Parts: sequence; C-alpha cells; structure tokens
Amino acid sequence: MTATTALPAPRSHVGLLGWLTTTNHKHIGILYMVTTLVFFGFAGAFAAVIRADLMTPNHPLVDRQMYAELFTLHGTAMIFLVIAPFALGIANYMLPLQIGAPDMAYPRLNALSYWLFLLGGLVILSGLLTRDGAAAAGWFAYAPLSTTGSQGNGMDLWAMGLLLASASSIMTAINLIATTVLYRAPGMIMWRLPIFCWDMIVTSLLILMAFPPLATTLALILIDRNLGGHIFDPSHGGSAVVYQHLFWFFGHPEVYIMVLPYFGIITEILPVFSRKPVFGYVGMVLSTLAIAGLSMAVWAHHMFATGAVLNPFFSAMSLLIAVPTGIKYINWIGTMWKGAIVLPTAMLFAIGFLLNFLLGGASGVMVASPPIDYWAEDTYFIVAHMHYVLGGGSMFAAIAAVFYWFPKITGVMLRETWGRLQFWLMFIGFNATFWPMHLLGLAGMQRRIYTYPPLPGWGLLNLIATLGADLLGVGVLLFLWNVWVSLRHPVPAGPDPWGGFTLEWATTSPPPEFNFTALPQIRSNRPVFDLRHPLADGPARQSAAEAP
Amino acid sequence: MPGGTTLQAGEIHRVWDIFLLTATAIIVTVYVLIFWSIAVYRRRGEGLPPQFHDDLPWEVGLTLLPLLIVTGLFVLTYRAEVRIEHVAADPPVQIRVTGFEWSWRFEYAGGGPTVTGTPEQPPVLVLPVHQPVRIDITSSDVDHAFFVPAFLFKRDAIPGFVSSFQWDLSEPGTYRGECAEFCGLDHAAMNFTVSVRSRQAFADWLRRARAAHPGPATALPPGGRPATRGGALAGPAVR
Amino acid sequence: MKTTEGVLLASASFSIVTGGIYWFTSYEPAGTFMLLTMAAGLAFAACYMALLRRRTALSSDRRDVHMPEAQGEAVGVFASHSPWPVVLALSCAVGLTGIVYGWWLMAAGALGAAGACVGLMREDREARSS
Repeated sequence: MTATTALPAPRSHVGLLGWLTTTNHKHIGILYMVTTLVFFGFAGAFAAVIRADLMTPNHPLVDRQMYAELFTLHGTAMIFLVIAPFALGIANYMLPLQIGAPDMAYPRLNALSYWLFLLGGLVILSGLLTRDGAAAAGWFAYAPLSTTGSQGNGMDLWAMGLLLASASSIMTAINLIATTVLYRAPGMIMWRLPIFCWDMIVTSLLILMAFPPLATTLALILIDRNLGGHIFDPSHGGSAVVYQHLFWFFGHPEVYIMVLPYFGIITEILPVFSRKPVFGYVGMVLSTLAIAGLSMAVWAHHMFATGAVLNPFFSAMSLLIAVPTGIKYINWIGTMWKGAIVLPTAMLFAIGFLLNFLLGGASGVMVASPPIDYWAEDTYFIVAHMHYVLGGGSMFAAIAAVFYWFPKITGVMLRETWGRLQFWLMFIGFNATFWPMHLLGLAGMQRRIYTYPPLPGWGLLNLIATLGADLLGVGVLLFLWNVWVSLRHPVPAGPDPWGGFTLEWATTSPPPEFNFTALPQIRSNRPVFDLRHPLADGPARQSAAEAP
Repeated sequence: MPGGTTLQAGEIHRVWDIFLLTATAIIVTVYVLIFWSIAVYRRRGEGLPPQFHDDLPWEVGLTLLPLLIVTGLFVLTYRAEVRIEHVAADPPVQIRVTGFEWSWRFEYAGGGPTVTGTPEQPPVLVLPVHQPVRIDITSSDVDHAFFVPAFLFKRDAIPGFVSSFQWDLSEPGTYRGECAEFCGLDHAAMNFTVSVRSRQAFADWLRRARAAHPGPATALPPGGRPATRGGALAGPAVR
Repeated sequence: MKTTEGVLLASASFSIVTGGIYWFTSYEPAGTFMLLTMAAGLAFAACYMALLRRRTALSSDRRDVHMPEAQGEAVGVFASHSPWPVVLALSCAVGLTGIVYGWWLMAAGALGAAGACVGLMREDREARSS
C-alpha cells in the first residue's frame, strides 16, 4: 500500500508545538488517554471526599453546597470526561490499525475533536473557580433546578463545557464511521472486522443519534438561564417533564456508548488469551446492533417514578435488552470454552469485567420492572447498579485494554507482578465499595444526601463502602507506579508479545507514522493468527471453503 | 416484615422475590461456567486447542431461552403494575401532597386540615389502616420525590404536573419518609413521617385537626420560592 | 459498503416501527418526535450510502483480493500537522463563554473560528494542488 500524500509540515514537529499541531491518530489517541487519566484523577478525588464524608452517620466533612458540587462533578467528569473519551481514545489509536488504514479519514477533524474535549472539560471544571461554585444540580441537571433553581455561572459553564464535549464526540463518531467505510485494507470486508471495530461503529451511530438531543437540551438550558426562556418553567407554560424526555433520550444511549466499546475490548482480549477464535461472530455483531437499537427506545425507564410515561412500553423494551446482552455472555464463555487459557493481567481484568458486569446487568434487569423501580429508584441500589456496569464493567475493561495494548503503544511491557496486585486490590476494593450499596438502597438510603441518620445498618454499610473505596484508590495508585517503573526500566515488547490475532500486531511497537509497511493477506477476522498458523482450523479455513 | 405495610408493597415484594431468584440462578450458572473454564482449560504447551467458533443449535437455543425468561418476567411485572397503579373511583381519603424546597405540605380533601412542615419540624402524614388512600402529588418549585422506604414506594413530585396513586395500608405504625430526588441544599433534610392509625384513631385525629385548622391551605409557606444566593441552593430567606 | 447501508436501513426501519408503536400506545409527542426524526436521519444516511456505493468500488470489499493487486492504489490525502484545529477549538471555547461573560468574547471567538476555517481551507487547497 503506497501513495499517501502528506500536507506540507510546519517548521517544528517536535516538543510542545508538535503535540499542539499533531493530526496523527496515534498521537491523538495518546492525548485522549492521558487526558482522561488526569480527569479520572479529579473525579476519583471527588469520590474519595464523598466517601469520606459518608463514612459515619451525622458526620459530614463538607458542607451541603460543596457536597452537591462534588457529586455533580464526579458524575459529569466520569461520564463525559473519562469513560466515553477513553474509549474514543483507544478507538482513535487502534481502529485504523485494526482495519489496516494509514490514519483516520479526517485527521484535522480528529485533532479538533481532541482539543474541544480538553477545553470542554476545563470549562466544566472551571466552575470550581467561580465565586458561586461549580454546577451543583447533579450530572443530569434536571430543570427547573438547573434553570430557575441555580444561580451563578457554574451551571452555565457546565452547559457550555458539555456543548464543546458533545461537538467533540459527534466529530469523532463521524470520523470513525467514515474511516471504517472508506479505509479498510484490501480484503477486510465488514464481516471480517474485529468485533472491537464493529462495536466502535455502532457506538458512533449511537453518538450521532444521542448527542444532538443533548446539545439541544444544553442550549435550551442556556436559553432558559440567560436569554429569558421558559421552556422548562411550568409557571410560564413550560414543562419539567419534557426536560426529562429530552435528557434521557440522550442519557440512555449514552450509557451504552460507555459500555459497547468495552464489550469490544473484552471480545479482543478473550480470544487471544484463550487461543481460540471469537465464538459466534455473527451473533456478536447482531447483538451489538440489537442493543444499540433497543437502547434508543428505553429512555423513559429513568422516569418510571414520575407517573408521566407509559411504563409498560419502556419496561418491555428494557427487559428485552437483556437478551442480546445474554448472547454476548454466551459467546464470551463459548470463546473460553475448551480453550488454552493464560492469565496475564489483561486477562484477569477481562474476567473481572465478566464477573462484575453480570451483577450490574442483573440489577439493571430488576429495575426494568416498574414495581421494583418504585422501591429502588433514586436510592443507593441505583448507585450500586450504575457503578457495577460502569466501574466494575467499563473501568475494568479499560484497565484490561491498557495492559493489553500498552506494549503496542509504547513498545514496552508493563510489570505483571504489580499488575496482579493491582487487580486483586481493585477487584476486592470495588466489590467492597459497591456491593453494600445494594443493601443500603433497599433499606431506604436515598441518593445525593450529604449525611444520614444512624438508622440500622446504614452506618456499617457506609463504613465498609468507604474502606473499599480506599482500597480501590490504592489499586489506582499502584497502576501509576507500574507505568512509571515500566517506562523507567523498560522491557522491550516487540511487535507481538501476546500472540495477537488482529492487524495491529502485524507492525512494529509503536507503529511507524502511517502504520504499515506491508500488510498480510486478509481472509478472516484474525489475519495475524492466520499468518502465524496458516494450516489451522477456524474462520479462515471456513472462508476458503465457502469461496467460489 | 418487608412488603407487609401496604397491599401495593406486597405486590412489589412478590415481584422482587421472583426477579431475585431468577437473577441468582443465572448469576450462579454463569459464574460456575467462567470459573470452570479458568480452572480446567489452561494452556499447556504450544499446541492449539480446537478452533471451533460457531454452534448454531446452542446459539439459537440460548437466544430463545433468555427471550422466554424476560417475557415471563414482563408478564409478571405488567400484572403487578396494573394492580399497584389501580386508583379507586372515589376513595374515602384523598390528600394533595405538595413538595417544596425543603419540606412537604399535606392537604386533606373534604375540609382539610392542611399540614405544612419545615426541615426542623418534619410534617406527619396521618393515614387510616385498611382504607384506600389516594394521594395526588405535585411540586411548587423543582422536582422532588415522595419516598416511604417501608412502603417500598416513591412517586416524583414535579412542578406543573400532578400524579396520583393509591395506598391500601395494612399495618399500623410510624414510618420514615424522605425526599428522593435531589432538589437543592436541604434535600437531605426534607423528611416526613407517616403515621398509620386504626380507623377510629384516624377519625378522631381528623375531627380534632379540622377543628383546630379549618379549611384548605391559603398560601404557600413563607419563602415557598426560595431566594437563592449565588450558585448555592440556599434556603428560603424568610421562615 | 452494502453492509453499512444495510445497517443504516435496518436501524431506520426499527426506528419508524418503534416510533409508530410508541405513538399509538402513548400519544406522547416528545418521544414520538424524537424517534421519528431519528428514523429520518438514519434513512437519509442510508440513501446517501446507496448513492455512494453506486459510484465507488473498494478493494476492501472484495473477499478474495490479493495484496499485490491492490498495491499502488492511492488511498487518500492525510494531513500530518496543522495548527488550525487547536486554534478553532480555543475560539469555540472562548466564544461560547461569551454567553455569560460578555458578548465581546463571542465576537472574538467568531473571528478566531473564521480565521481557523480559512486556514484549514487554504491547507486543503495547497495539498490538492501539490
């Protein structure tokens, strides 16, 4: 593959100016990942303060205003500045490699996406520096609380920063879809794409469908707050219920935007470390599409307790999502079944994902039933549910991705001993933090309270949760230590330390500027495996048998 | 006994029990399969394991089975929900509940009384046992939620929107109530108490309360629309 | 490309059907509107893909292509560095904060954004002519 034309380069490609002007997908991917790590530090610190505040009954450590800002920024940052952008960052780096492309379809748009994301995050957090504090109406900012019920610029900065971040996500989605449609390597038909790439395309479609309503909602909030609008103001003919419809039409697909890429990552890791092809490839693709489609039709399950929506419609749709998710679990287990499994840290975190996400999915199915939701909604049961899927799920998968692809990105291996220790601390810490919250919620502890009375069990469960969170934090610090040590005393990785299946393992670590000097023949969803094992059974042999 | 406080709570708890049983069965099965795989199918040497990647009967079967399960769960849910959502045509006790920053107002239909609370003095909602009670709930400012954990039930209080539900109380007692939708600074203090009494005791209370405070509410409590300071969600200026 | 078109078409169909069911069961306007406009957007994209497919043949979509056949294909024009994305992003961020901090900021942001767009277009023209 030849004939790529480069635009004339400015005088300096190195140093700070080089990073500010880069349009290379690998550099942008690294920028995303490092930036999300920093935002994760902030959001995690906010959570640590929240957990310390709630450690014992009637013993808050911060005042009510600060507490409201903390949980608002924790949620906003984790959702918009960490989990989703990290996935987009990994996709930025890996998708062009996995499809055999030299870069993303629109490199300058890609760079624009990153800078909008960074600036959007900074604008949101800058609310902390204003006189009246940051946004404090929760990450979903229900109107009228966020409009007539909040004074000060923090709320406006929140909306403006999120508008920038929304634009960023939409642009990345466009880029990912265009790249996949137009720049696949010869022979890389859609049905041979790695499942990670499929999941990223579907995620991108979801972004395109979900973020415009969010952007609209944010604009309407700004209009209500600054330009004399009354869209969400019932005392002037507006509707608070419509806010929830608008927000959750975005909000529900958003949680799948935060999970589908990570499903894809798990589906990359399990086959390699089981030494088998992914089980049920077609089922994996169809189930991703089914999840995405259904996810656009379930938004009002967040509104069951309002009495303002048709509960059975949304309950049926929400329960249905369990079916394609179940298909994925069957296929993941089928991949490992009768395989030849090894357990490096990446695989440990992948298995941790499987165990944790299942619990989160189960609690999700429970609250898909309105009767149960009347009990559990807006309590710590929901906090447990969301953290099991996003923390125990997506976060664990993100860490698995780092351990899996760090060698490719840096050319250097991460230390396994520190990695294992990190896994056990985080697995135990995570479950200790969030499992008790199921019980807390069912016992009646509601969300977003800065302190609580000494009701039976509440104190003990909160104490366990706080101690678990401390353990979780130690695990994160251990990760930073691992990265530092591994870069300081590098152990070279080579092009393919794991015996990988997909195209990124067919080039050097890290890859050269336009990714490949030569590409192997592509006859299945695992071209590098086929290269190394030309006589093996599997999808390639099946494809050859089916060829005319 | 969980689920024994109202008829509706009983319905909810039955649904919960079945969902919990189903979830537990599925979780245990999947966990066993995962742990089995990790324990038994470990890499020994350089050879490749069998490279199968499809099994249509299993895949179709294990798609249909979850579909059947969720269909069953939906039917169970729908039936229970119809019963929980049922509101009698003309229940003997009707109360308008209004949430505001940061307490609750209860207006009993048919001549009052009106009970208004403050964060320092949470209001008491007095209800009769074994009689359907209809509650019409709304808010006068931002979103709140009316939550009684012992009844396994909450309903949002949304400004500009009135939602109705019914409780058939089965168990006299005193129960804690909370606000379950973040509504600003004193969200954590927006509590109330539900006092479920025998029908006679309720009738006595109602008579005395009407005599002391005749008629429906005249005005919002002072500072019903809070004066706020800065980005903070401060309390009402006047109490 | 046929697959992508199929995905978009299937998604559009699902949205129309769901939107229809939603309207007839709930008569709730906000959700119906959002579902149907989503269907329209997806259908629009599907039509575009159909038209694009008619005039494009990619070696990516050939099952049995051999690499030497595809060698020498011009893949595309890829920028390697550009100062304009960060300038454009800064202009947007600064301009947007003008809503609360003063309309002059919006003007400054608009100017910066316009300048960045001009810069991007000139870069593009230079690349295509070289």
